[in-house]
Amino acid sequence: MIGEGVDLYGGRRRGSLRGWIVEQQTALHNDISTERDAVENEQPVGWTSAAIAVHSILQIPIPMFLRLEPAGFGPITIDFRHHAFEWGTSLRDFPDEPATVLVETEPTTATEPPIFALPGQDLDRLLWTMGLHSFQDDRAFWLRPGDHYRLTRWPDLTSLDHTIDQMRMIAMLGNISLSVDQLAEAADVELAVAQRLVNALSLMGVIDSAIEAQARPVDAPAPAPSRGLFSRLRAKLGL
Amino acid sequence: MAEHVILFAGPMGSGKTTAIETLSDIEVVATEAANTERDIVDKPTTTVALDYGEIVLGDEEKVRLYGIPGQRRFDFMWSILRERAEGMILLVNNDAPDAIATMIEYLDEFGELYERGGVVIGITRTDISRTPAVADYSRALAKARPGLVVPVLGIDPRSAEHMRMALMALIINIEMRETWSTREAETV
Repeated sequence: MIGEGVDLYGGRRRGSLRGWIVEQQTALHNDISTERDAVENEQPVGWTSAAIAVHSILQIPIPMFLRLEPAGFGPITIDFRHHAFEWGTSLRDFPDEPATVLVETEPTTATEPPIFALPGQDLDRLLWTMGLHSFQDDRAFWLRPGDHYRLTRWPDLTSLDHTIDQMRMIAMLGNISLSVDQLAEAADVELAVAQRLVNALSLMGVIDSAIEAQARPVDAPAPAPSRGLFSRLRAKLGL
Repeated sequence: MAEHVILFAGPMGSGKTTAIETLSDIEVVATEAANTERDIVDKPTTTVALDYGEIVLGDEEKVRLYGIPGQRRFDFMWSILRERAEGMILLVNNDAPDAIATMIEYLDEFGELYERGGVVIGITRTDISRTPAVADYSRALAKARPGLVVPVLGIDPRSAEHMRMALMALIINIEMRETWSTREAETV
């Protein structure tokens, strides 16, 4: 839960900010359709609570530090001003389901020095991994059911662990607005696989969403298994 | 025989020849000459006509990889190859002066390919210069050419994994764009 854990930033208080974030969380929960009532009664845990905190902070027009501490894996420090993070653990050893992730926030200013040596690591790498491991197979709390999604920029895939199916889905979202259901069908993957991808891209802020009525009226699913050059190259390159 | 032409473009020193060598199934045919612009890029030779490599897909299909010269005085080669190209991997070295402007300049030259979604941008030498960030190129692109999103990737041209990823991203983006634009046209 946001605000729990020790204060790592010299005891400066952040009570009002904490209240703001909790309000945002509550609003997000309440905005989601009633079908999620059961989920609302559960406290977010693990990476889900961390993802909610990150998403909330990204909505705040105040520079912010964030510290996450997955149990047993050391603290992760994030400086949003520089889109960077620092962690003693390699992302290759990212724990899938830590028992707890402590979350702490601390406001800063545009001019305050960074809290670790820059450039640090690219925050996109952490958000991608965290996004794929949050919300189990469900929709991120801030996403609305039935929304359509469109890519605003390609994530830098050479720096992210990804599958070929994820690359295909990203290419689809780069060319048309799709709901998660449509994306799963077009890519011929399980719904949960498409949902996790959309959660991650949304956390990274590289997709826009639109309600169904505003999306372009293309009755989606078409592609599925590619029989073009892509599939032949994939076979040739052993991917 | 089915053939696909992929261009490798970018300024001198961005890694085009290396990228083709990394991907090619054959020994790369390179047309290097003494570099007369060592004040710009300090390497002894540079491509003057083109580099050529191939990826062979069975007996009936080839992907031809052409590296086009980075120096503008050879840009007549650009127009010859641009006509035949299905896609282009544009390499921009991050340590170049005003690298983002260079990217936009190249995309203006290859606007038609870009509009077809047939471009991947590979940012090289990010180990030498950490800025601008890869995302900065995407943001500049969104401003200069809104409405179309193409892959922008940090790339080491010596890495087979990176080059395969760039090529696959290029091909899937072209295929998706073709598929969806056809369907959109049918819907309208």
